[in-house]
Amino acid sequence: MSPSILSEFEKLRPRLVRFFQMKGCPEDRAEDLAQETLYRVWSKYNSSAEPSVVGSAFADAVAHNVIHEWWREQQRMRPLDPEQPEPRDPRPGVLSELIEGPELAEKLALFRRCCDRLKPIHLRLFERYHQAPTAQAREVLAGELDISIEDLRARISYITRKIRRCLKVPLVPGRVT
Amino acid sequence: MNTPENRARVHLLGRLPEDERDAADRMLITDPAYFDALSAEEQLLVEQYVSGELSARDRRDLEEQAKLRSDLRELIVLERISRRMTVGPVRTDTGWSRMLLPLAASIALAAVGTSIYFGGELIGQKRLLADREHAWQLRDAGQKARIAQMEAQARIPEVPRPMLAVGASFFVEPYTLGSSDEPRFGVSNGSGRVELQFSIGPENRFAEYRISIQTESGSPVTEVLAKPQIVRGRYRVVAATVPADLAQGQHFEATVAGIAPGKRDERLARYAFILAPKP
Repeated sequence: MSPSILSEFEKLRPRLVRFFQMKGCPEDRAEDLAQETLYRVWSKYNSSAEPSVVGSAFADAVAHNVIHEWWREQQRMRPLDPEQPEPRDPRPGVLSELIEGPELAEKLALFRRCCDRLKPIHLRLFERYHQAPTAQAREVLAGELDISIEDLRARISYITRKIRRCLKVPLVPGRVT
Repeated sequence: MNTPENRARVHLLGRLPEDERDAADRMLITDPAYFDALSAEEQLLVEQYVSGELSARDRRDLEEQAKLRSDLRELIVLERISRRMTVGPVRTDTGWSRMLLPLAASIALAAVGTSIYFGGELIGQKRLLADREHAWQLRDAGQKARIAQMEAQARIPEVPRPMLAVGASFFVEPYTLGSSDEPRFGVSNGSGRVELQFSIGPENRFAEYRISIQTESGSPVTEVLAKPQIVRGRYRVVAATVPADLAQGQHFEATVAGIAPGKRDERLARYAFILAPKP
């Protein structure tokens, strides 16, 4: 597979993950489904060798099928027993209790560790953005960087999601066997 | 005015009609500009939510969306943590850096002046960036010290928590597509921990495995690394423990992935089970 095709695939991945998240998939499942979509597109490309297959419109059609299959699977996995209580999400609503909870120190330490893994330029951008006390100050920062405030927010969103992926660590201590 | 930002905001707040919503979801794949607009708008919404700047209606709609989307909930928590880590007096630098920063700024200005003088605007910009980089490096030490100080302030005195004893162990087979019998494990009391032994089969020969357990809605319960072991003399398993008080009749899912150095984890099997109190 040529580097340009690979590059197209890598550009598609985050867009597919976001698509599946907006459809209600948990993040790791969204990543699995994005991978499944890319795999199907890749298989089609390999069998037909048509460059048009790599286009986002084809990926969109495949993703549409993949999400419908996932929904059907979810329906099948739903307990049939009406006596069965509905599963509860241990982290409902606003989650303010998480930030105030006893594991805050642990979170801060993890957060810092993940920040240290960022590229230095991303870390500084992230810090400067959050040090800006008001929306106006952030607009000034965007001006300094010679980009629009929307571009700056999109970059911060990208960095935040990188940190979040890094933060996928135990919330409840488990035994390492 | 129906700008991409407005559309993205309405989309994120879940106010689009079903057919439009589906089209907007699909635009995330087909239209990179809309993907960027949605990312930016989501960041703004989360900031406004955490700052309390959203209207009551927007706030309510965002919370409804956060109930459906675990990634959005996590972004809200992360925004709060980011603020705690970075908000505060910026200048907590040492005396040396207070002296060095203006010096660095002077150097930057001198560099700009020199480059303009020689007509090398591009070189000047590069130098300016390099000098900004240098100034930022100088500030890093102060910022790291401040972060460490905030962590220390936030740290709750740690009371050593003894690892509770394992009250029960359960053997879990991989989930098979189409099977209707989901194992239901009864836990006799609410204290202690429950060990879950996930069967990985003889063909998987990784030295270490990653076990992720989550609720049906996708909220993580635990993630641990485990080495394989043999139970009952023949079954190859990896084990993780969870608190016994999770046994409330709730459905859980787990995945086991093999860990290979320098490569992505290889997902091997999924498991589904229910932990319930023993009657």
